[in-house]
Amino acid sequence: MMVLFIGTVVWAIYFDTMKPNPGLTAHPAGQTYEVPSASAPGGKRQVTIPAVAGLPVDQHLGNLEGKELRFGTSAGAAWGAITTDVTCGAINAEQDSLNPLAGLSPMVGVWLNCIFGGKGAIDEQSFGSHHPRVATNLNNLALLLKSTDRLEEAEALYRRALAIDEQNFGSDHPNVGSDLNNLAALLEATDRLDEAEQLMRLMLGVFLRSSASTGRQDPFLKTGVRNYAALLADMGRSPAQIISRLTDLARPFGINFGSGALSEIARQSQKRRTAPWSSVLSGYFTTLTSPFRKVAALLARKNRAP
Amino acid sequence: MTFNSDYQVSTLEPGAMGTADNGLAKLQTIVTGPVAVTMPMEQLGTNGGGFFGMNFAHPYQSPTAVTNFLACFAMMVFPFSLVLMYGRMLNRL
Repeated sequence: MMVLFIGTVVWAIYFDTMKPNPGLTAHPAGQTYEVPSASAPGGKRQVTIPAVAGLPVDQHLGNLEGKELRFGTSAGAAWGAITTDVTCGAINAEQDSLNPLAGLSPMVGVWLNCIFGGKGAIDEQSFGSHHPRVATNLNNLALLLKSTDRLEEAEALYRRALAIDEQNFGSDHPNVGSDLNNLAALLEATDRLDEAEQLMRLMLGVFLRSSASTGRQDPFLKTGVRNYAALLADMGRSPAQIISRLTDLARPFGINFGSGALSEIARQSQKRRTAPWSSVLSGYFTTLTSPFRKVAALLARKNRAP
Repeated sequence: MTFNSDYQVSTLEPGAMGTADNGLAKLQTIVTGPVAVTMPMEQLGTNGGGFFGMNFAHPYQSPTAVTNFLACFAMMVFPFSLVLMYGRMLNRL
């Protein structure tokens, strides 16, 4: 493939430059001009531009309107395809000047907008593998893996992100809290509720501590409490147990969630325990379709194997 | 490379740009500028666009077929290598 690619490039450069378009240098008859020159005797020198047969544009290269005339059509068409594929946008030959079939390639490039690229995740190369931004990227990548049902890989990345953030910020930083929350959500989804519960408790500790030290409620505290309550409800705890657990956790930090927020949490967890008919139906659906999903996952794993 | 915005030059053929009202041949204006330093940036960073209106069809922006190929290569090298980088990140290279 590489040989083919290099061969094509060499061929294009050879033909397009060794046989430059006569239209560029064309002149109906040889002409001589007098040019001032310091070195020539008499202060003037003759410059002759020879005649070129075949005018004004040589059509053997094909449709040339709007094309890059110096290097010929192949360079322009290759440029058009590449510039749209990598979302660059530098122009050599006008995309509009291509024939319908040739124009399809840049058009598809523009439609898809990004065939190669996605340069946001270049951070690991620039910052080294322990930079906080790498952890952010790992989190994002893990989210992607999680939503495409590749849970083991997602878990590994979440754990790595957590380790990076703990190392950089210490275990009390809100970033660590978010990482704990993400990892716990994944563990919850893969039915490891006890470990998830431990992590969620650590996560709540982080946000409670930051709320207590700043004197203002951490913006993520609410989400954290909601996630923890949902997890406890999934573990079969009653709303009263959940409320008492939450208040116990918050008491050492002097934080009061308020009766309104607590009753809302109780209502939500009750709702989660007594599943409404829609979730009962979706439960049936999940059970019915699980063999198919298992086969699909198996096939996907088989195809992914190196 | 130059920081001059343009050059006024007289043409080889007298009056090729037309004659002014006073009967003298008009000068040709050749637009120039710091083109060479902006080309690697815009190509490697896939910003696109060009210094001159006609972009890379302008001889000052891409004088030879080799520079044309270099510019082409520069704009694809990072996006293409990202595919390999992701493979390495996921241990699936």
